[in-house]
Amino acid sequence: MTPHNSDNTVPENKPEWKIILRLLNETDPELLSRLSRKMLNYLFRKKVVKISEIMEKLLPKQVDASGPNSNYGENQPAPRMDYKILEEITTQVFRVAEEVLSPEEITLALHRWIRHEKIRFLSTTAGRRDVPLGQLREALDKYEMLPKQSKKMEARDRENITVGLTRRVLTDDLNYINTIRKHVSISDFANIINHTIGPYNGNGKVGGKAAGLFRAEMILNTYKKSHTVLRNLKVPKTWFIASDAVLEFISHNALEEMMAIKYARQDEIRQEYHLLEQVFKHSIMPYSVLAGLEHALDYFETTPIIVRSSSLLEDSTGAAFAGKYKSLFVANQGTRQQRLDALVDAVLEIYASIFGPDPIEYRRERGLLDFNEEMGILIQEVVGSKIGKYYFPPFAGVAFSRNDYRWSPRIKAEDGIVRIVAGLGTRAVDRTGQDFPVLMSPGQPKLRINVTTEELIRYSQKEMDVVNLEKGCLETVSTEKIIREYGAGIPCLPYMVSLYDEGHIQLSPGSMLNIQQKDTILTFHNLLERSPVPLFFKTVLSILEDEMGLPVDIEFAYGRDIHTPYLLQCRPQSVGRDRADITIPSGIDTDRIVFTANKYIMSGACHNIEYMVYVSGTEYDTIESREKLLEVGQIVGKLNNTLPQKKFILIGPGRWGSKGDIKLGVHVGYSDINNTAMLIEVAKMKKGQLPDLSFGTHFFQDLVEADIKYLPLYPDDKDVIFREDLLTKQKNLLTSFVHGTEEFARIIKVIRVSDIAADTSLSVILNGETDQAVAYMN
Amino acid sequence: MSKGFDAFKMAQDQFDQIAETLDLEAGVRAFLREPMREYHFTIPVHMDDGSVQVFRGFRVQHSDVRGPCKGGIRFHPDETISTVKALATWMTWKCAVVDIPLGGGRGVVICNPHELSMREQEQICRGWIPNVWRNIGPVHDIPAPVVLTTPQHMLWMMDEYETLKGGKYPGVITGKPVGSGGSLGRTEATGYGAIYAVREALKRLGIDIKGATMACQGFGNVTQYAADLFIQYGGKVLCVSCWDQKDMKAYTYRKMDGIDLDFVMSITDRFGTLDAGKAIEAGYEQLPGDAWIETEADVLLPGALENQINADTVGKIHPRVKVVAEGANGPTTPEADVVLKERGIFNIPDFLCNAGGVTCSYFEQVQNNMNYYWEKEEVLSKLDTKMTTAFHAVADLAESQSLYMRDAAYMIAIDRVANAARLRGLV
Repeated sequence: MTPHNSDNTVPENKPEWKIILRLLNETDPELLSRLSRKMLNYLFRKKVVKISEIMEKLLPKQVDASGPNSNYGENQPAPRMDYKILEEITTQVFRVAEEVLSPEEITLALHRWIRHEKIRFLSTTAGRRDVPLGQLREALDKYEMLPKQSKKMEARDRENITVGLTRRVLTDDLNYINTIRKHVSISDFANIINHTIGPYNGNGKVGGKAAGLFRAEMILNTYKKSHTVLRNLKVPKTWFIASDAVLEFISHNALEEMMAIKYARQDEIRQEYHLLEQVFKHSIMPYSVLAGLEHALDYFETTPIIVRSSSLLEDSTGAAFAGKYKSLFVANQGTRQQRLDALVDAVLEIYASIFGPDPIEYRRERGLLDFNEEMGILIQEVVGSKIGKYYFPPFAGVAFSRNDYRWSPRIKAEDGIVRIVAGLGTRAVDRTGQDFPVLMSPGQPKLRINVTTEELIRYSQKEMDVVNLEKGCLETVSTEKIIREYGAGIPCLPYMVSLYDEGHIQLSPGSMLNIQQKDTILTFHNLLERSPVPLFFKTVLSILEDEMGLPVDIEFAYGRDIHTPYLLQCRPQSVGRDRADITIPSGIDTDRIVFTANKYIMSGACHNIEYMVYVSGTEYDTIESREKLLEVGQIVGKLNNTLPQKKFILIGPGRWGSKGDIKLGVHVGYSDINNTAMLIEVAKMKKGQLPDLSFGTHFFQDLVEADIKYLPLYPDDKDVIFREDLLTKQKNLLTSFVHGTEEFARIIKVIRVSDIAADTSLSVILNGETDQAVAYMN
Repeated sequence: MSKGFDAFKMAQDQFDQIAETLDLEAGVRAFLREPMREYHFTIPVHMDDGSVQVFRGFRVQHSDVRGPCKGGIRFHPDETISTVKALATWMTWKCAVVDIPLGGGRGVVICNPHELSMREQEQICRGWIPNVWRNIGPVHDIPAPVVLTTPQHMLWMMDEYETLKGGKYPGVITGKPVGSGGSLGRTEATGYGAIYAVREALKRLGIDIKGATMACQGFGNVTQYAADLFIQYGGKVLCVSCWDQKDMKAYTYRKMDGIDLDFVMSITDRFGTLDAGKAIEAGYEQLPGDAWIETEADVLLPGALENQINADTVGKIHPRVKVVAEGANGPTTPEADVVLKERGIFNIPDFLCNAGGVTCSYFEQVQNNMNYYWEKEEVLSKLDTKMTTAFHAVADLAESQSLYMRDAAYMIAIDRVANAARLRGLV
């Protein structure tokens, strides 16, 4: 190839670029060819007319593909160009460059491209989706070792590499790739790969949970400069086990036959699962994984760790899998061998959980049973500090960018919600039903669910989860006991507690000394009123939702103070359900609809409802004595204990749980309604006034923890349906469920859905995203 | 008024009935049937989001013929003027029956604190005062916290009042924390007050309180202190009951040779719920929630919930029971009252039995006005005197005219108010 000068002589004062080209012509013609191509592109981008002319002249003319003489067209491959033409193009490129560019510019461009050639190995590696883990690690290590100058590359080259790496390491999901590409660097991948355990020749990924956390971290990192509240945000030290390590483990131990268990019947799976778990635990971990785990242990030292599943199904199918696979705490105490054994045990237990009855059933329901069993694992340090014999973060929890539980019409779904607990976040993630996290809506942090002394005490957290370092296990302990024992030794305590004294609550304890001697209640008052924490959540949730283009939920924990948040997990929002569950089916026959609603809707769904209990507002208003009004509440309580649990809904006028003027709503306590699937309040216009509803505030947190749905109905609104006739004109079963209630039969109606239409049950779908709800018989 | 339950109408009906018995003259009836003054006003508040919301506030002063009005301020979206008027009326009778020189009042702001930030709530409190500050105060009308209002709300109101009035007037509001003008003995007042009355009732019945037995419903503040004093007097508390949040039902914990209060308190949480396991381990019987009513005891103390003694349960009361002391509000239904009367069970009606609370609020105000604070013993000793005197006044009337205690209590209360109005020449 003779790009420019073929006489082999170098005149005096010849520009440097000519010398470079000549040298390359002799030593590395292939590189010269690639450089010519780059120059061609460069000139094209600079819109140099001559280059276009050359191309036009040399390339075959476009002809009408449909014409009679057409040899090629849009549905046929274009003819290959004569190689000589390409050579000619290359030769002419530098001639044009010389005419239109300064010698310095050409030299500079050549320098840059030659430097790029040094990291071409990386694009070659990153472009291969099956590149073995070992090779990938070596390539990234090599890249990291390069001097800074040599790492410079054009944005599109960098993006090409990062997208390649994303595909190889994280996921093929296009939406994911689109949302992460501008936030991630090559070094970020080096960091993951250097902490990934797996077979040298393996090509597994890190799984959905790890990918989700990584994406959130990368997105938020780019906002740190503009949002001071994010500056100290961290992600705990993490190691990853590649998803194919489990396959290596299975083949290493010849456990392939175990994989067929997923096609067994549910009862067989339940029966065999325990055995399978033990078989896994007594199998041998392949050396490649074991060695990696030892490295990880050196890295974590004796900090407690959590081992979490990171399934490929989570990200590739959109299924939530919330809580389907295990997360296990490892205290990480004792001798090195003991620590390693405990870690290996945890990993194996999670591997076994792939074949657990619940995940298999979940997959079966969603047609995912045939998906391969690969599962990544995250090993994360537990955020927290050692306090006495315990280890825990001062507070932790979960946050959702969409608030499905609104206790006031002032709170919008997009205001989000955070569940905060003292200690490990497990109590915020799971619902204990008996104990309560503090709920805060980051868009409206000043609006509290609990206002009175009684509410603040009843709905405060009584127990917390901690790692017991002495026993080496997770433990639930009394919050009061811990505070009394360690007091000011617990970081952030003045932000978490209020003081209780003779029936009064001092919300803000100030810089209280001897807090141990005080009667304390966990209200998180100062944290919500006087700390950057609400702003932090508002910022994080809105950035993540905007960037990812869908509602998100995150898990978090705080370190030593209120300025050190740690992100533990991030995924599309799901409250133990799939978004598909709340999609309102189209084309429901109007005759089958009982009611619809279009404001203040939370997300959720209730199916297979067999009974509707309806307290007629018109009739309730006619009751003349307080005793009879109270009796309505008592009868509802009796129905609650008689009707099949979660198979009925309660519909009543105004405010359920009214205490003062009980004309405005039925006087019930939580135990009178705790078995209902849904609590519905009807706001019907009375004398031109619309009554206020309670939004369930009389027992709001009980409803949240028991997952009882709440719905307000406004039958006088336009465009809503409220078929009161279906509730009042049907056979009333009240007296057959609660004897001696004949005189209340006009007020309380118990309707069996299948009496309205044979063989039907009621479904109520609540879609908070579109603010629509419908109850229909199916 | 439309058909349906109306709280103020109920209060008026009750008054009419007693007025008839007392044969009150028409002018007195007309005067006491209605509140003397009602203030209705609006409170505009600049919300956190920049919008303005206007809240409705009320203060009702039913009667101040015996002294400044006294009564809570409630924040509640449910509240109606009918309820406010009814509660102001009942407050007049309550203060009169225990013979403290106060009248009846009640206030409200129609709002839901669950939907308001602390700053917005403060604005409402501070906005309430300018509407009525000339009409309330230590010598006019003294509010206190009730449902959904807290000592914090009261302190904001007090601060605003003092700013407008120019001076320190802690006696404008009661229910303040100790250290901010509150009185010692407030926590014990209602429970102890009930037992002062029980002690006197037993005396009249010729039963020695030493060795007497009591069965309690509930184990909240009222019952805990009532049990404490009853045991101090040498009596035995055989059972208490409580709501168990975990099991979603109530239990009675019984020990027929008397509960060990210190032990029971040590296994009880802030809501008065006993640790079932520890109670059973220590030999306490765990019985159904309403078993307290069947217990063989001299005294029954329903201390927490209304409608506990009703047509269904009244028949279960053990023949030994001589006294029913109503620590809670409205624990006995009218149907059950008939049975208690028939059986000759001595009833200490709620608004007398649990008047220790309002009496202590009165003491708080007295201490505020003189800016001198008593020790707890002094508060409790004065409470004892008040309760004892009030009890005997009612019991004497009941005995002399063969009246049921509840009727006697209402009669004495209404008669006192009517007399004060006559003496002033108002009617």
